[in-house]
Amino acid sequence: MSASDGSSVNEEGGAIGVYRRLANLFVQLTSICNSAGTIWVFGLMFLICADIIARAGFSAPIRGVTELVGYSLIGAVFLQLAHSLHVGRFSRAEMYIEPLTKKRPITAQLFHMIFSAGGVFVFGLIAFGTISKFEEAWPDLKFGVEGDFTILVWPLRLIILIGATMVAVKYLSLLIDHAIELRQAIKRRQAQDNKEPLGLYHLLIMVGLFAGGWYVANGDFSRVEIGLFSLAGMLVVIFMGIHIGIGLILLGFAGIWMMMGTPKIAINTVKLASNEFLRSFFFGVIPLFVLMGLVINESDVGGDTFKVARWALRKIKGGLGVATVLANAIFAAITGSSIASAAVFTKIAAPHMIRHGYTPTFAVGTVAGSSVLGMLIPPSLLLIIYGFVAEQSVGLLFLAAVIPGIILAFAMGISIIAMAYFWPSYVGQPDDSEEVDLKVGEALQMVLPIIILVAAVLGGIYGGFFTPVEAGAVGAAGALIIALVKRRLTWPKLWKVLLETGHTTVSVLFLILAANIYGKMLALSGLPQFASSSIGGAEVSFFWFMVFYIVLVIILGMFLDSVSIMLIVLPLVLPIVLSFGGDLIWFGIVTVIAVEMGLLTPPLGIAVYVVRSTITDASITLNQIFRGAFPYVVIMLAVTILLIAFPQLSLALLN
Amino acid sequence: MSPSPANAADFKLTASSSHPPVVPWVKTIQDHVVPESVKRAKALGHNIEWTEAYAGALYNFQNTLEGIGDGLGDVGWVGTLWEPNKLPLQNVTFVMPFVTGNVKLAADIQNALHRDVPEMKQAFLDNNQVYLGPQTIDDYVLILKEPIDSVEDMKGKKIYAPGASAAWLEGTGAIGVNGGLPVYYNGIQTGVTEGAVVPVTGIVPFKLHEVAPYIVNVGMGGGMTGALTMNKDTFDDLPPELQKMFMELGQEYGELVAQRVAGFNKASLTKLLPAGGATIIELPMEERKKWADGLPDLAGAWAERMKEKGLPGDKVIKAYMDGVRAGGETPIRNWDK
Ligand code: NA
Ligand code: NA
Repeated sequence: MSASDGSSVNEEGGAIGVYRRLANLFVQLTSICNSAGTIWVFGLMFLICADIIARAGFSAPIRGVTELVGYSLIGAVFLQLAHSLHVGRFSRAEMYIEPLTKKRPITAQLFHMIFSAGGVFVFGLIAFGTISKFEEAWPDLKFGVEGDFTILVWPLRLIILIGATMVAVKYLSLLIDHAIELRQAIKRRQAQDNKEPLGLYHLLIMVGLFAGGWYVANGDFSRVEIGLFSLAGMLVVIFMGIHIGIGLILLGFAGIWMMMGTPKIAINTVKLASNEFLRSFFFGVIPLFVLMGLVINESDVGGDTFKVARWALRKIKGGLGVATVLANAIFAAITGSSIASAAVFTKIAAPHMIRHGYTPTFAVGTVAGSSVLGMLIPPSLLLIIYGFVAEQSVGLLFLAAVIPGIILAFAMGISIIAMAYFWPSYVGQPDDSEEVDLKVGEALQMVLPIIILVAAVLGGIYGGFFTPVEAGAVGAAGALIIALVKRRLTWPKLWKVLLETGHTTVSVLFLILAANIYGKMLALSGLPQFASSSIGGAEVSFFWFMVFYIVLVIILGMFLDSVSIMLIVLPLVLPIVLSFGGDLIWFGIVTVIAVEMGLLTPPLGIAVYVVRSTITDASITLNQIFRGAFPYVVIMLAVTILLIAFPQLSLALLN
Repeated sequence: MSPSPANAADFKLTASSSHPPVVPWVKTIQDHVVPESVKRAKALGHNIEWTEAYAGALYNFQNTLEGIGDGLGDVGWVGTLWEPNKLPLQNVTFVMPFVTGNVKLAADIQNALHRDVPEMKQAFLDNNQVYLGPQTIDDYVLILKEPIDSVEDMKGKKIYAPGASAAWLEGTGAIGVNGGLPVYYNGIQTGVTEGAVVPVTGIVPFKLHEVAPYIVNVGMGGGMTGALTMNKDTFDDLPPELQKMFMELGQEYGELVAQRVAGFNKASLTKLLPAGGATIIELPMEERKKWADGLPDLAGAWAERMKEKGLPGDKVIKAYMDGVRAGGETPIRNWDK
């Protein structure tokens, strides 16, 4: 190495060193804001519970709780966004960009830089739009009604402004990080004798995208055509690996600009949505149910449930497999997320099954497969999100999912017994003779926490005592009490759970916001009406439409996470379903189970990834888990078809 | 001179609203303003092409004023009732309940106010839009899960009362929760509230009587709840003859909405609601008076607040009450006396 090389590295190191120190300081700042937002949301739980007690016990409801919850949520979301981005919680499709980063690092870093620039643009736009919203609110604009309950608007607008700016800065920092990596990758390549290919032709996708955008913007296209182009562009953009929320907002923004011929309305759409859309009491349901599920995970209720299920099924061939399904089904009644179920039962059930002679493939596959019950049996994060998008009652959706959830659990259990008899090469030669010596009373006592929580949460909703949001608060408080009574919760654990709640909530709500902006573009384009009328004109039957829809969802499910799929597809599809006279509650149940197949299918199968990252046995491969879970995908497809053929299965409980 | 189609100006406009076109004030945009504007513009040698985005496709009920002001929609219905802070004078009837349920009369008064009180017109201009026409509502009633037969029965109940109407519950012991028609069904069903203050015409389209089957008329009356407006930039870009045309359409809109609201009010109370299993309760006049007289001086306090903002609240109150009495109605409470 020559002397001049060395000095240039030192100079670089100096500049980069300063940048790194600044970036670290900034991350600490985002972390502080994140903690503030976390505590804020936790406080909501107490506020809502206090309101319920004041209302039920003293006939003196607290004024303004509904308004305060909406106000708080949007504030907390913007406080936590930057840190969520920092810890990598913005979802993206990794199928293209991840391998590219390994094989063609130089090109991939250029992609990453462009993606990050997109993030800077989107959040810069939100911050820019919020300036005028802040000016409008300053100094005394209020929400609410004088004499009843009012709250000043400008502090909220200021938080949104600061939060959005922090995310823009974080994206800028990511842009610089990738520029540094690009430089290092170029250096590495220069040092190679046999230079690796650059792969710059990959950038043709990007060039094509921009050229296509230019062509559409300058051509004379109808709004429907622009909507179609944006739909195609969205698929390309998202599959390249940009953060999905950023991609949706960029395309929504570009589409509205092209249709209106001026950026003003597009800017105003982004501004209005980011300042107002999330300000709704009903979104409070997300953090509260997530919190409830995470707290209950800490209290080892999953382990107790599995023990009781083993005891109940001890005389059945394949009993341990069925017990995993049963425990999952029971556990599902108190958790809203399949990720939680997969993590819990990977630790508890998988090693146990392997010890008793089940093949590892079957054991891990069963854990991954049965975890989907977590988001079908209520409460369910996916049903909640569907409820927002389709404007359907979350309470009714939960009720409608009960029978389909039980059917799916039964189908899985019976299939396991059948496979244990007829497909031993998959299941193994299990010895289910272990002794779990429980008395009925003991067993009941072990599942008592679940019974209490289910009674409080679902009983509360259907008894008309409180709303789903309030049920979430009661459930989270109940889970906290159970964990405290069982002495499972320490302060560090609680803090970890709260941070995780915040990150999950923020990533979901940001996606919902992005999809809302994208959905406005679609509404403006008239594409949904055009699609319904052309499908009507082509005399496609509802059945074939549903077949097409399920296939589409399964394909998207291979590459995208469940929430993203629903938010991308539903704005386009719901008007079509309505034009066929389809029931939106039923459609929600079918959608959730179809979307959940994606949890188990390669290359991106979240449940499978969770099992892999939780399991201690390093010899079990990702492929093995995908193979083991595949029979469950088939079972889910069969149940989906059953639900399509017999809508009464979903709707019977509603009547 | 009549311009040939070739050099006729093209106008691409968006009609929008937070509510679906099942309510008269949106339906009238869809089936009168939009088609009539196309027809009449054509006669004037212009070509208007509409995009229609109702039912909250572009903005929700909390943002109707921003929606038109920001240009998300060019022409739309603005719910003045949700903007007590930005459109204070337009909310005068919310501090004057128990006055009249005569929709047509209220619409005429609303027009007169926007003509005679410059501050009212200016409030819309300040929000980057132009007032085209009035939208008034029929009697507000209570819809409840459980029946009541006196004012006392309201104590401790949580009730959806949009915007300023929360104050109408003052003195009854009930608590107002903010909201809009699209969220009432779920909210009442799931227990956010035990009922709502709604105009009669809002009940059937949203099937609210399914969840709150007791319809109690307490004599609250109606008033001004909205307006048809046009984005100011859009309006300024129109040639004078089209500006005039939209002004006229705004007046027709107001009349047609009033006619439809009144007709639908009657049909709801006499046919649709009883057939849907709802029970209609008329609170006796002495209870109505008790409720009305039990309210604090809402109008007086409001006029004071307007004065602090430099707005002629008392003038608007007087003009409205005079208009009502001149129209032959007998208010349960005279707020200017
Ligand atoms: Na669940
Ligand atoms: Na997948």
